[in-house]
Amino acid sequence: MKKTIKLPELGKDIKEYVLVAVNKEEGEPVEKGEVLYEVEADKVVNEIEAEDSGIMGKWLFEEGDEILPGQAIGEIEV
Amino acid sequence: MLYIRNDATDPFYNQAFEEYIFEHCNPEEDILLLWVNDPSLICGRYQNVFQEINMPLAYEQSIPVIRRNTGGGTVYHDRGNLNYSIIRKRNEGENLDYDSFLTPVIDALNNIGVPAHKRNVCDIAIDNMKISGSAQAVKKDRVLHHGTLLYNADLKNLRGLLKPAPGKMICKAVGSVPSPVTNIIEHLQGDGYNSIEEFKEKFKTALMGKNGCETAAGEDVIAEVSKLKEEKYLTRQWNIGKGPKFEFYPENKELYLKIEAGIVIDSDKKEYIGEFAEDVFREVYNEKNNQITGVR
Repeated sequence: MKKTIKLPELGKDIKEYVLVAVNKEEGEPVEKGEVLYEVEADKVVNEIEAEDSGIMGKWLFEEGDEILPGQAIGEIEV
Repeated sequence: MLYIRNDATDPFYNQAFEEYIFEHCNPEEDILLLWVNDPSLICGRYQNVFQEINMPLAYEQSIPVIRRNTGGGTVYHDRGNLNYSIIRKRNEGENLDYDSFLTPVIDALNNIGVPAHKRNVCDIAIDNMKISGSAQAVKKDRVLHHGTLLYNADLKNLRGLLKPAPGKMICKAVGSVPSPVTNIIEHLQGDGYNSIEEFKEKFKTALMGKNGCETAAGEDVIAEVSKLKEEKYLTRQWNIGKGPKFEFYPENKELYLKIEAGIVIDSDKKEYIGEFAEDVFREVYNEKNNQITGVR
């Protein structure tokens, strides 16, 4: 089953983040709890962990892109 | 609060030390680290070092360039700059929180004769000139907040090194925000201090209060930190390769370079394709000095 990866709400004051690292490429296995990607805003880097185990699907953005809380940024086959 | 002593001045080791403590310390404990680095340039997590740093001057002076895990801009460290790190549990539902870290730091500075005040979101200043910048990383329910304290740093070197290489750069990196800076030593009230070591001790005591305690890393921790230094912070894959892709047209060089993950992937000089960006930069600027961004 394909599941959408969405950027969670990380703080009430921040409207926009920069995607600074994606740690899995399409087709790679993902373990729940692994750091899947990193985002930065206001000099704070947040590590975001995978919510599910599965196989990484497409990323909808690339490193350096601006992304919004709640936005779909990738897919995972769980 | 637990203070973990680290007297090393090797910037590669100290970056690894901070990361290791952040990853492995007791999650229930507030941790304080204080350290001084040999001259070095420490760039933010997603910065293009070639866009931030006067690389020809860094080569000339053999000043290492190291990427850190927190966000924000590039900073210059030397023996006149005191670094502090505070690691603690993150408040539930809270992300951007500089004040709960900066307020006790500013109070401690005020208590030891430094007329410091907060400026902007995460800076500390004296008379509106910056003495400290800070940044954070969040991992699970822990936050690492760290900052610089310019005590008597070489500001001429700082200004000279924090400039981009001349030329046109096309890049989506997180940029630095330049600010007027000053040294704490120029503004001390009272008798002042004989050295940065004395300043560090006073600052530590003022920040920790009566409930603080002190320890030092054991041999096992030092061995793990040294391993992390070798495997991560001494590599160009981290220091250069983890930056954004970019295109660069060096001034007066009739050259085009497209760089991704620290490797030249396109250029009008075909012999550069597939080479490490740093090696090409050194050749372009005719620098013979040792590599400053790692060893492999």
